[in-house]
Amino acid sequence: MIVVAATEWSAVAAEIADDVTGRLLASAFRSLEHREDSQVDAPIVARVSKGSDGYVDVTTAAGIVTRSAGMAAALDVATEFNRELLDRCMHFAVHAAVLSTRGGTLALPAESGTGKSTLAAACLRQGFGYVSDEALVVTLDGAVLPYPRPLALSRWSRTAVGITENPRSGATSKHCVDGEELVSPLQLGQVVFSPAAADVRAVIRMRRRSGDPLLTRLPRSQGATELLRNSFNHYRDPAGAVALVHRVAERAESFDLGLDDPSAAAELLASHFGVRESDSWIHRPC
Amino acid sequence: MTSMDAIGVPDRGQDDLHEHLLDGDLTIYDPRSRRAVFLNRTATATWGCADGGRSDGQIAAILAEQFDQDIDSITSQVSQLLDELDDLELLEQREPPRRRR
Repeated sequence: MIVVAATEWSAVAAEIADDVTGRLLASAFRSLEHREDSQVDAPIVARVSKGSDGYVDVTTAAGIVTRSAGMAAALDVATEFNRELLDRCMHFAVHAAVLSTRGGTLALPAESGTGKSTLAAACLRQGFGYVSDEALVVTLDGAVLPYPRPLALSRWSRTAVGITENPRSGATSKHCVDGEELVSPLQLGQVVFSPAAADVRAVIRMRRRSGDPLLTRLPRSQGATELLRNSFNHYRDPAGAVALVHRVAERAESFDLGLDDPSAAAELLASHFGVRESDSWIHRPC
Repeated sequence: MTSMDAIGVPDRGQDDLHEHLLDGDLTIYDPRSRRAVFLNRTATATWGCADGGRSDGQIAAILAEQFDQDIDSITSQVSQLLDELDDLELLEQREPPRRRR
């Protein structure tokens, strides 16, 4: 039996069984940063048990949520925690890659599978600060809260952003499932753990475009539309969410980013917005 | 660019429409239908003219002058937009002259 407890914005392995699955889970959760200042009000607990058939059941308060094998179980636990943590989040939240720059935060709202993590990884290597590749979390006054987590990158993504496959390079982790590798953002660049990162400076809509990347300005109302369209908890206070996305969009610029090559797009963003300068809330790779 | 974009937003709520204007574009949140509707600049101007005292043709004439367009080319677009706003139950009257809720 393995019990893994997640606190707000962090996850810790509380008890790990001494078997292969346990070691895999422990490895997976070592990729998550433990926050010393986390409040353990109501930890999320998942119980992981291995049946005689060799499969692993992941059980939460909602019952058995997944049945899988080996490393996939670890990812299922992480996914479940992620879902639960975001569901518990009382702040307005949007599916987005979020990056820190010299003059504020860039939000790239987009659905899953549109390349947010790959572009975030490429931007990290350009010198942007990492805030999240999953969620833009905004307080009522528009401040951005960090939501860091390991980046799941496919082989194509790792190649596209120039992450070496040499395990001795230290550039990547060794957690790999279905061709996707969990990569700690700390291994790629700077991570912003500030309690409230700078306000959103730009809302950037991503779309596929062949050839060179192109950044074009959009009406700010379009930025508000993108934020609302990609929000996953606006239903709690829809009128408040509509008002908040307009407050955020009003203080930001809105852009359309057409891209094919994430590294080229990251270079374009760096030249346009400038990269992050150092401050005490940033962790850098060793 | 489309003139209007609607996103469903589930809620139970009040009947008043919430309007947010940004750079000439308007977002209307309707608590009753649980929808946020985005209007571009021309659609926002059309919305502003739908005061219950003007026919579709009169609204088209105002917009034609405001945006320096030929009235014949925009009359059908204005009527189509007002029909869409009708379908979204954002107008009080389904027949011209139409008025915002």
